[in-house]
Amino acid sequence: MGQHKLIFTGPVGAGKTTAIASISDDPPVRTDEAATDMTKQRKPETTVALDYGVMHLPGEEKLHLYGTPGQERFDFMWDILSTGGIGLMVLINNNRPDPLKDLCFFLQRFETLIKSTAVVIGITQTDLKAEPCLQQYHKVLNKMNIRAPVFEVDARSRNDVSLLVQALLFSLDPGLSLELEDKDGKLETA
Amino acid sequence: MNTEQALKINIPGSNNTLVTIVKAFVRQRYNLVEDDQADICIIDLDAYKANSLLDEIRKQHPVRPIIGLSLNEVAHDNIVFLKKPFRPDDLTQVLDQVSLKINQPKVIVADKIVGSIHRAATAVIEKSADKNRHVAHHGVTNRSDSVHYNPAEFLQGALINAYCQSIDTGITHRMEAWWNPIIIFPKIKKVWVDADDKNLQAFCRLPLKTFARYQAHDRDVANEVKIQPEPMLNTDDCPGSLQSMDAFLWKVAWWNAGGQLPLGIEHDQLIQLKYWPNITRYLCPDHVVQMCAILYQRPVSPLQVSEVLNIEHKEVYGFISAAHALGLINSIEDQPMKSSRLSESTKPVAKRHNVGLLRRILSRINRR
Ligand SMILES: Nc1nc2c(ncn2[C@@H]2O[C@H](COP(=O)(O)OP(=O)(O)OP(=O)(O)O)[C@@H](O)[C@H]2O)c(=O)[nH]1
Ligand SMILES: [Mg+2]
Repeated sequence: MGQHKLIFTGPVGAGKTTAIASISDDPPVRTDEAATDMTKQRKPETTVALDYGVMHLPGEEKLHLYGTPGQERFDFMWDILSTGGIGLMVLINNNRPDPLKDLCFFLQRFETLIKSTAVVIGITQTDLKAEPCLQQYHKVLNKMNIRAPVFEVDARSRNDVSLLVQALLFSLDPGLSLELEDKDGKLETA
Repeated sequence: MNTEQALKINIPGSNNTLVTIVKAFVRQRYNLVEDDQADICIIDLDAYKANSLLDEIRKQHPVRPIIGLSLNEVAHDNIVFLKKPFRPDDLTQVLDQVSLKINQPKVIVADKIVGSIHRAATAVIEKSADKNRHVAHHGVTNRSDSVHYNPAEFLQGALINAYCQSIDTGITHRMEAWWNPIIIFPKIKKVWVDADDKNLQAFCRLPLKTFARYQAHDRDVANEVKIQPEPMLNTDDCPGSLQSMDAFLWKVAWWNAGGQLPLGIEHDQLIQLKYWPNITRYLCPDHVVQMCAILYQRPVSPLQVSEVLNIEHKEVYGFISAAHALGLINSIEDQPMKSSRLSESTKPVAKRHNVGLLRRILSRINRR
């Protein structure tokens, strides 16, 4: 019975808790609390420890979905959570004061995990604030020398979150076939 | 529309007196027609319920010019005002002005640009390999080689021109190309068209000149695409939903391609995606995510993509055409194709995760 982890990270209000809830098979475990201080000005609840959800895979296998708490004062949790992750999902809240800076921050903070696996970036809340646009994110990534999928995501939409997960899986292995899932995991790429 | 052709006027609301007057005043120069075929509306602003009538016309025909008649000076957005009483000359003068506005700017601008795209496309064909040489000989219409389509001959080419003009000037533009008008709002990056996707897809199947042939008797008009500024128009004038400019162009190009590649991209040429398209907001049939991943990771040829994914060429070519229309494709020209083996081009990034696991996650996340 395999245990695998998928990590969701990003700033306060990026939609980590919501995204995990939208694809988790079991009701997600939340550690949201009434937000205090600065965070409260933007949202009533924030995650203080971690988010947890799970996807049951064929053959008793599980994919654990972990969300890091957005507030930086909990960042001691981040390394513990991300060790052994199959890849990183970064959600960026476009409705924050400087989302491009947020992106840099999270990519640098999770550099080790990104280097050994793959990263995808979902920009949320673009319906509330359209700028910065995707081109501006592309520029930042170019500067940081990181090639990664980046597109708009509404964390409330299962379809959007699913596409982001698929982008991660195909980035890890573009030859992955959609057809015929194999029971014993022996199949190789075409 | 042809300047020589008589402009069609509609007088909405059952105002018989006005109809008689206008008929008498304009004589043969303009035709009075039913609502649906009209180029211009004339409306009596002093009439009972004139305002609701005006709203109704705006809703149904957001871009149709309106001439408003009134005893008092009235300032309505987007209406050409004519004070009552007026003489025949006053009316024809106003009509002539409006008709000039409808007809003039677009023909010159649009034809020039379409022409330059045609020339560019011709140059591309002439430059390309032997197998295409006979195509160049027969002109730019190379549907015959069955691998390529020429974006300039389709809605895609006209739309890109309209986008360019609109973005360059920052002004709302209207484009007409033998179909429903398309309104472009460059500041909010949205387009409006009064048609659903089924309609649009059907229209996208054929080159524009096919429609022109059906609708125009005059050969000069046959290439005409109208692109004109509509500075007065705002989104409130457009009932229904707006679409993002990118998402709209993406699907138009995909459907225009009809499973072929745009001129200038060969099926065995190495290409690469500059960025991932905004897939959650675009038309996204099966295999799009895989195609993005493969084409983003390293240079591959369109043929290789279809081999690796074991999917039909036309699916891959449609995707590449759409991405190409948005400027997302880089051509890697000087690299010989042999250097990139199939196996190399799809090497997993992280080998330590077994393929089986990723596949099981995929099958799980795909289930709706
Ligand atoms: N309008 C809009 N709302 C969104 C979008 N994505 C997520 N949300 C909402 O944004 C709010 C914040 O989402 P959360 O999931 O709590 O964000 P979080 O990343 O867990 O935030 P922290 O726990 O504070 O770090 C929720 O009310 C979501 O429903 C989006 O794309 N558009
Ligand atoms: Mg949370």
